[in-house]
Amino acid sequence: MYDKNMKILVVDDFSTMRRIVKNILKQLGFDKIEEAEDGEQAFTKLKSGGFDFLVTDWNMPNVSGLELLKRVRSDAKLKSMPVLMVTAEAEKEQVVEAVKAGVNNYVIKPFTADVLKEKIDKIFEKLKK
Amino acid sequence: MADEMDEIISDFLIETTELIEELSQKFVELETNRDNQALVNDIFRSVHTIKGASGFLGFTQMVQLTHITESVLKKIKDGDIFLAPNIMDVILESIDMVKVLLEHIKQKDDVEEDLTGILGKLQDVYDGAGTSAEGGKSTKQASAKSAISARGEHEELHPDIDTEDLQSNFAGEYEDNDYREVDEAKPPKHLGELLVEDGKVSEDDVEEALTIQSMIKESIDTGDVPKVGEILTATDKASKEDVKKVLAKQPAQSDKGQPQQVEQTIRVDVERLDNVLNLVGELVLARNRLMKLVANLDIKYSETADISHLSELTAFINLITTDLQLAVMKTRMQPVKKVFNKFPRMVRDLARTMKKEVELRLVGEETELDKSIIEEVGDPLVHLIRNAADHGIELPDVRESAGKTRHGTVILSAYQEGNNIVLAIEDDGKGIDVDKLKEKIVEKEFASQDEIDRMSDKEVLDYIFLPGFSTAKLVTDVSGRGVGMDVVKTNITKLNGSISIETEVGQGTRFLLRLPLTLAIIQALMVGVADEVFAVPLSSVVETVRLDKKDIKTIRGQETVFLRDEVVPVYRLANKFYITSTSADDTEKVYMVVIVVNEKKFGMMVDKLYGQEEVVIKSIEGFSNSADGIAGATITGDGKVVLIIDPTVIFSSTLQGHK
Repeated sequence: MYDKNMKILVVDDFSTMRRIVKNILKQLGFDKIEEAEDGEQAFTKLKSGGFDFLVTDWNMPNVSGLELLKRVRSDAKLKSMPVLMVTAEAEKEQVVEAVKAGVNNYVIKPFTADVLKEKIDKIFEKLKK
Repeated sequence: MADEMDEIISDFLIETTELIEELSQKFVELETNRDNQALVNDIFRSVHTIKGASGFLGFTQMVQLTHITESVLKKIKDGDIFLAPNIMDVILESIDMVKVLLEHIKQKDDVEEDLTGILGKLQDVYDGAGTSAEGGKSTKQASAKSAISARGEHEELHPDIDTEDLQSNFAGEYEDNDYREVDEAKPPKHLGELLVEDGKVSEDDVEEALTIQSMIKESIDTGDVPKVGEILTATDKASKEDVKKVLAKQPAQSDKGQPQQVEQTIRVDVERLDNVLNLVGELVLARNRLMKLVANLDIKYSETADISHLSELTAFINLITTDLQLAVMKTRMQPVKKVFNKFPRMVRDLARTMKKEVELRLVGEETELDKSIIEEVGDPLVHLIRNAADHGIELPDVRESAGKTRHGTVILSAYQEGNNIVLAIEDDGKGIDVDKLKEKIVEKEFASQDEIDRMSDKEVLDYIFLPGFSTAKLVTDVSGRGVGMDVVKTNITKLNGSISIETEVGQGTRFLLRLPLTLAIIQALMVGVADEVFAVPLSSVVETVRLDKKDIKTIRGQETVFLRDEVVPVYRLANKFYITSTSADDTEKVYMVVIVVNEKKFGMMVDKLYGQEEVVIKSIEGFSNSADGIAGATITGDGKVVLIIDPTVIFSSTLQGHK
């Protein structure tokens, strides 16, 4: 359905969270995973190319997840990059904001490997259509 | 997998502990500067982050606690709760509980804390605010999140929105929505305000748009409310370009005042660093030997080309080793901020229990010190700061009648001075009354009236550091139990540092702690007694003099020498270590190393002076060192093992001996 070899960028300001997300992604069979600690760093990494999928936290200092998403969507090269937003807020307005900004899907912390897999499956199913 | 989990948990502990440390300081800062939105956001995000990670790791109690704390913080952030001191107390209490829970996680003891008390208090704070904050958004949140019960919030809203639909509805619109806040009635600057400022729309237009917005808000159920910008453009009050232009300014403004920048760091186990430092130490020793050998060769075969090349190369290696050593030292350096951070909270709590007004000012937090020193200096500082707040600063009324400001100030500062770092604790309190201190010394029979009369103020003040001596009239909960200052002094001297006091009655007191930059490698003066070589830390050496034996006079059974208008007691190093000195009888001239310990000078008689060398301190295991005046051992350039003497111990014992 999707390539296990795709290169994923995990963005979170809390390194423990990055490890957790990475760990879950590894359980799902992905191993080309890189990290960034905020939106600014993430965007620079994305610009350098080679990434197929972006998993980003919402609430970060400097450049937030939403900000990052908007930058990605308005970048000529990156605008079709699939983006999964990780958020702890079960608040609709945030989700709506993210959806408006063009997020492909989102997942609420804490999540299990199964939930994450379901989300990733959904994203790539839709992209295929 | 289990290992991986353990690693993640230990990561979590380290990271969370750091966050909590920063938090405590930020809270205190926030109390004095309630309008700092960036600070509130920062605090909110930290708690939020801890909650998120705890959820993954299954720390249920932590999630429970941080969840409601976060909810309260959200209300503060939204301006629904005013951050009064009593509310701050509750929040700080919850942060303390977070620390307790972290400790349980660390100990893996599976102990469950009773959280009902603190959760109840937080809930009260949370509910207390609900009544004052009406309006669509906040009531909706209050009901949706009724704090504690919302622990299972992730189940509440299952994200099955048809993303494609929403996306096509809003296709191409994301660049118009460059702002984060839905509720336009919140600080900092809003789009409306900015547009008015730029003269694009009138205030009335913005009012109208806000009214339209709130109408829409009431009528629809989702949080999907059009932006003020959208309304303004839709009603033809402003052009799309203008809105865009102003929006471009907005995020930049809210980014301002972000308290900290993310540093580019990697985490390294301290053990590894220690290992590297050890290796560098060995390298320094080998370099010293190499240089000595080459110097010898150079004398013997100075004409040989190979030897001169070898000399050059050795000089180069010498240079690199020095740089490497410095670089490795730097990796172990940490800003003193690490210890300073806990003090604002401490002073705040102290001031509240003692009904005083105390402001703690931190200066030079970025100053760096070796990690091991940072770890050791915390306790002495706690003591000195407590003393300053408890004994130094007077009650507000007393201060006022003395013509001072009601609130006292304690300044904690750090700065570099040559090869030392100085930490200063300064208060503008009542100061130490030297005359009263003298009375006390005599009363407690630490010295006779006769002795006291001959002492300088500095010497009198030094009595504060003697065990069992306390000047506090009242034993308070905080300090003044007669233990402490001697411990402070012992701890500081253990670090090769020194402590001194400056005080003026009515004006305040200042404690100065002088600490070395590092503990592992020191500059030393190599001295000889008979065949033995000793290293004396250069930091305590003032000068070396060569003097005639007949200049040494015995006063009251103590050998002394008159050195530039100053009487300096003389001790023979040979006697200290029961060695027979070669210069004891048959020479006219002797060498004396003048050493300063706690601002007092001593002469140390030795047979030979070898010169200055950089020595790596190796502790001697199996000996209770320093008690006998030995700080450790080192290996010299010619491969000899040499003892490093600890002047503070040697001379403090002689000090007490003649008391």
